Amino acid sequence: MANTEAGTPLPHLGDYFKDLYHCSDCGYCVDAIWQERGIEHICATLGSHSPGLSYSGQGYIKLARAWLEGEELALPTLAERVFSCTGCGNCERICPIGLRPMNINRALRRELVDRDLAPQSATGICANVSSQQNPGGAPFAERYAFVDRRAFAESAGVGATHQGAGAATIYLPGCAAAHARPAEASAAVELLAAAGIQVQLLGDEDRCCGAPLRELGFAAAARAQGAQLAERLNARGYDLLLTSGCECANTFIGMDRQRTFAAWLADAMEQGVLRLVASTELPVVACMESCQATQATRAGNPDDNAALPRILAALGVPVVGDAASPYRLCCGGSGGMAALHPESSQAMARARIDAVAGAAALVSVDPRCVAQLEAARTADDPPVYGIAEFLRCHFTIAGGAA
Amino acid sequence: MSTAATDGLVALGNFAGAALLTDPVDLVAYRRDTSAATPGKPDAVVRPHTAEAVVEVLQRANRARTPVYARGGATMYAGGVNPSAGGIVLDLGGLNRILDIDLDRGIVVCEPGVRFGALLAALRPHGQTIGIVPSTAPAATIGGALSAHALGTGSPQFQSFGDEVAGLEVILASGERVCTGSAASSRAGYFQRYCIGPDLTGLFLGADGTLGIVVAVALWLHPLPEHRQTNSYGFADAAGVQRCILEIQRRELVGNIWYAGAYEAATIKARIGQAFPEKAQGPLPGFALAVDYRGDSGRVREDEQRIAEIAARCGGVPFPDFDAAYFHRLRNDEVYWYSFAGFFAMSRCAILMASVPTDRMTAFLDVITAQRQNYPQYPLGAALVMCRRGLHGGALAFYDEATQWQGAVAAMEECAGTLVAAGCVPYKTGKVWAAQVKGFGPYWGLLQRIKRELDPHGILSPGDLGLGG
Repeated sequence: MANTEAGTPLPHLGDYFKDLYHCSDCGYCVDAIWQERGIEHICATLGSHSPGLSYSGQGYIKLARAWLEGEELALPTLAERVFSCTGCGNCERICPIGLRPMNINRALRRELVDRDLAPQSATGICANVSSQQNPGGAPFAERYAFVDRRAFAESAGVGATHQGAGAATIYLPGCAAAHARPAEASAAVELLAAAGIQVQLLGDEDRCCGAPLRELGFAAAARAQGAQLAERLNARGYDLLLTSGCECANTFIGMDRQRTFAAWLADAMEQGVLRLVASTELPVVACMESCQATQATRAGNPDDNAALPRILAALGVPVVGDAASPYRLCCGGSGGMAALHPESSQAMARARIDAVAGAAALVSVDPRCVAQLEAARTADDPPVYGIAEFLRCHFTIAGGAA
Repeated sequence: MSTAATDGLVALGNFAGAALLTDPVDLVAYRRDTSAATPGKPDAVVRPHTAEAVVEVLQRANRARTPVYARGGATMYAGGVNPSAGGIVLDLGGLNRILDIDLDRGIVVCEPGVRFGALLAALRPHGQTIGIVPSTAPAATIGGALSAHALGTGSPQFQSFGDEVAGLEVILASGERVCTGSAASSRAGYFQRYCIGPDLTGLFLGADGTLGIVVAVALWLHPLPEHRQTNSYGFADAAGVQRCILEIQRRELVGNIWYAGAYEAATIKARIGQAFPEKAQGPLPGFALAVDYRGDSGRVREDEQRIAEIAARCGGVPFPDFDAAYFHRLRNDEVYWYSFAGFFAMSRCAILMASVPTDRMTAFLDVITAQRQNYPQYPLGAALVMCRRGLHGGALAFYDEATQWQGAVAAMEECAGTLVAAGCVPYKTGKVWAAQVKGFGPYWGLLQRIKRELDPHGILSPGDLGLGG
């Protein structure tokens, strides 16, 4: 079997040889509708970017196999197809025999990155992370600007320890919360404080965990970012690492003493560690599942998408819509789509919003989804919240465990 | 492909929103279906969204003598969508509207690219469903099912997918649009298939797109069943199962059976071994018959009792372990598909689906046994699905696609000839049975004459059913 392209080995694809030859072309990863399982479609890219099979999980398997077998493919064209996947993981969740088309897409990205064939928008993300420690290129100096927005906690007479070393809990907002949705990060810190948890913030020492680079196939750069962050975290020392970023949490899978903020919040509500009282008439909420949170579940971690209805139920917030499904289509915020294909990415977000009926508010545990949905929202749509900012807008703190 | 056809297709890219793909990178994924049949290499993929765009594609392709292969979900086992002569793959996934749900007439009309899952979801609020639902339903399309004789759930009651079609709208190679059945009269619409004259609907069912492209399908509706249960029976051998099925069919005790399958000793041992390892060490039945009942609860209980009595007379005993270990879950979760079995055995699965007279069931199994001995390198399994009359028999050869693909195809070609010699006939014909179709003398001759009349330049799916290519 050929394993070369002009004599060049394809080491990243070699890990998936079995997958490439076991796919039975069932088509579930292209499109499937299975009402009993909450599956309305599978691939957001096929729905909002292009219906061509070369953009599907099955397509990536076939293209990878063709390349591995030595078929001549126009690599720049291949790169456009490969860098159009959100990485939501639906294709892997539905595969009846456990094949890994999304990971094959990631391997294809790594092969293309090795050949300097990543699209310019992808290398731009890489440069942004390198220079500003976030994929969007927002000034690093603004990363912790959210700590000045503490009106919620201060109004309740509770203050948060921040920037200081020594607290047992480190809160990492993640790039999306810090830069695109700072209200979520500030509300999270205030809720932690209200629960009597003093947190350290890394401040100038913070670093992007590398998740955006890993999604794009810049594996070495992603590892370097992760190592930088781990070094700083270890230097500070902590008993518990909390993050709001679902993609960050996926980077931390396997680390001890780490949780997502949403998982912590769900437990805090149910255990009475944090007590909130409604300050407004509560809106009917639609839970906007995060595909990155679902991926964490697949790796054996707690399901943050399941944490959201737990939190809302504990507070008596009315929820509309079907039970949580691990197959919801990506909102376009994942996989670098927002930078790679902005119009398609917005169409994905629009599709998610349009699929909601009867809700007065859209809530997600994933700040990246919140920012993405907000960008596609019109004045006629319900407001979009991260879970912490939703609580800040509709509740007052009645007390904590401190 | 000719320059004229390519130019025409580029122009079509701006016609009625049809998407056109010609980049070789994009064409890689359109070479084959789930079968082991040899892939083709298309020159272009066109994805129309309207029947008018399909007319345009066919007219341009007909002028340029360019082959056209219709494609739905490509979940079929016969290679029908594989573009063996190159040309255009006509991706009908964009024709995915449900056009009408008429509860008074008991008819649903939809476009061919509608997936079964979407149709079932749309019908459920009305308390309705359709008669035949294949195991590929989440991804399979209605157009693919009618073009290749889908079967599975519903086959004991309704036989085959074609039996549930009330009428069609078809576009011929010339671009001419034709409605069949009562819909031939535009004032009448779809409500009756057998009227006016001969059954022209039937011409296009199981035709693998060789005679025309279906752009609308009318299907009979049926009420959703209120009750469901499964039962399994163990037999010493296949002969007992054959007698049991014959008597069930003779007495027409199929009205509340939505699915019934017969299972070989190897399957029984594997499934029981997975679920109850200790029981797999002891004696197990040599064959099993498993039945999925759906319908009025009282009638289901009556039929279940009668079938239990028939099974007992044929040497069968209740086999609840098989039901618990496999069949109940299979039918209620409905995740299994023949092709997936390839993953567990080797890598993929080459499948031949045959129509088997019930009285030849053991002969079908004898062919499988002989084939197993001749080709031990391709572990062979048999799948048997009960219909209202007769059986659908599947020969499943597991192979390693990286090293054994061509050998497995050759072995299955030999198996196809042996099955015909044993009194079975092709089902899901596509390309995997093409050689055998040519052996059915006068039938083959008539089929060729019809083909020449409807598609004189042979542009529609050349190679399928052995026609052209």
